Amino acid sequence: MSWDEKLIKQAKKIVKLYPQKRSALGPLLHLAQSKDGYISDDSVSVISELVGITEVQVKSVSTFYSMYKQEPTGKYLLSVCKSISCEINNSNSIIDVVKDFTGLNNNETDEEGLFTFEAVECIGACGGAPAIQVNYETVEGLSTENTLNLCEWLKNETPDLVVADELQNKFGGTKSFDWAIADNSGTTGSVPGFQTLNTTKDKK
Amino acid sequence: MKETILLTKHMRENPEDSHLIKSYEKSNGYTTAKKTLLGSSPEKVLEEIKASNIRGRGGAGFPTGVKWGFLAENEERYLVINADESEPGTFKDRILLERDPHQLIEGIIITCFAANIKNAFIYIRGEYAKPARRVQSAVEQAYQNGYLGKNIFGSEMDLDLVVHLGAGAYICGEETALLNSLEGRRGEPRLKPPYFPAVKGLYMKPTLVNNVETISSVPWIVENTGEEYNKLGVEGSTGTRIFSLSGHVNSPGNYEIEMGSTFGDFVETLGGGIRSNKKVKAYIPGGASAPWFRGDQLDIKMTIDDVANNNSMLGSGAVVMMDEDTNLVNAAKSIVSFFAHESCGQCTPCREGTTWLEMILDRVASGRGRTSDLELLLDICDNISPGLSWPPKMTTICPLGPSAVSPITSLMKDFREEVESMIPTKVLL
Repeated sequence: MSWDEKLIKQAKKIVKLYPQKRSALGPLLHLAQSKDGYISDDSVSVISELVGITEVQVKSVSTFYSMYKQEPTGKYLLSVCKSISCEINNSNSIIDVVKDFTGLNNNETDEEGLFTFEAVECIGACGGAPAIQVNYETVEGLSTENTLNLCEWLKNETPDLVVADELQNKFGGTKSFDWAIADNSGTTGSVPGFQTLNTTKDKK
Repeated sequence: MKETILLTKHMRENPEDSHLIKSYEKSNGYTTAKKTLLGSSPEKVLEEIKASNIRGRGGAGFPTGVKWGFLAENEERYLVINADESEPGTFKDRILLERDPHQLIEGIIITCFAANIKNAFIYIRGEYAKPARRVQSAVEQAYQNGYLGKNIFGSEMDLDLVVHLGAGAYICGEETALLNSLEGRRGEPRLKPPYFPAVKGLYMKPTLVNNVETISSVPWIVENTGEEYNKLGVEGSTGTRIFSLSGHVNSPGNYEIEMGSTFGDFVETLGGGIRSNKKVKAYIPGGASAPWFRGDQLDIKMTIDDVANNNSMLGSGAVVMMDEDTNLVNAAKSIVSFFAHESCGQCTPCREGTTWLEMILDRVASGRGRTSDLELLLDICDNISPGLSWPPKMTTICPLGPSAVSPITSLMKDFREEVESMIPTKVLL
């Protein structure tokens, strides 16, 4: 499926933000991922035209960055942090819970297309270790029990909008910092929820 | 020991809505920028920054005033804010982005005025989706109020600001890799020369690359003078700094303090001590790249120079405490795995070396190590960073490779017995 008019319009808006077209390549790859859950060959070809570089150049960049997925991801991308502060706060046990629940190994997606699991490097939640991101929405201060509850909740409720604050309130514990402000914004897919990408909404 | 509140003042006093423009304006936000644009000169601002003696808060600690002074003349110049905060243990820029994005924008306006820049970018790591949303909303609000765009505050100054999302690459925190990434290329550090982005940076045009915390400090410095800022902290480490404390402490979090007190004091007072009253076995003074200190070295002072004189670095201000029960081989493995994953692959010693180190540490940690592994680890480290000295010598374009050496030399220097105890004495069949 090629990109529809609406998406092309969004893409052209992004290209205009930059003094040189090629700078839009990163954001356009995010946009491609918001469409398909990965960087499809079709998107590579569309993007190469939009920014005026070859398809190989697009692929060379898309394979460099870990957030651009080369295969379809599930509805929920579960990224458990394993870097030092999480590691010494038992992130291994969190990883085990997610693996057991989903039956997935690192970088695998289940057959239903519901979950993708990955163990990732530092997500800047060290003060609230151990931590997880669901579609790049952060939940800190996890226990094994609450991690399981989180997975079950996602499976039963299957929300279309994933909201960091909602998940944190329901399943999180200690946070990296305390001066909290309530915020209902979230992400609509397995990509960062961000205005320019049209991937964020406020939960009502 | 107490915190000194400059950068985190507005967010603390307005916990409900500090990210909104109305709230920031109530705290006299944007008045410094307005005064500066309408009544000051670029030279005066640069003088204040130089007088403050502030050093970059990203990790390298380069004097900000000197960096700005390097910026070459050109019609096209850029400011790029490095918000690719990815150093394990560090989450201080996250709070500045999430809770007080307007302070950063005001800092950007003043910086661009001082450096005659019309295009600025904030490069935020892709995993910081919520902080990026907050900043994007703040940028939109600032445009609406006439603080960005054409004729800011009715002055002659124009400024466009774009929030750019990264895509998961620690290496993009290295400034030339960040610029490549922003140009739509692989995030590979550039071969030097040219040495400074201030001469050849984004699109090979003069570019200032500054950390979030550094530029967030600019409004305070310009409002209260560089001289006042210089009075805070100690010589060589002036002002306040936000330290991210994590690991086995009772109260992890971000703390804004004047540099100069000891790590021990910091952990005992603000950090609430180590959990279950345990002892510190080792700690990381400045992010995963920094060599570790032992638990009996808690009297070292938290200044850039004191930490450097003890053969480590204050780096990004991330302090990670590891208690007496920590398996340090696993801890080192976690850090080495990080660098192996994040190596961009350009330079052989880093690309191959970090992967080998990870494999060897993995077998030691899982009880399958060999007696020869200890020397093998050090030999590989020596190939990445000859002589294993500090500051590290390099065989690579950027310091990522040598950073992977830090935890291993720390282990071998101070905790060799612990590593040896994990090597089986009998041959495994």
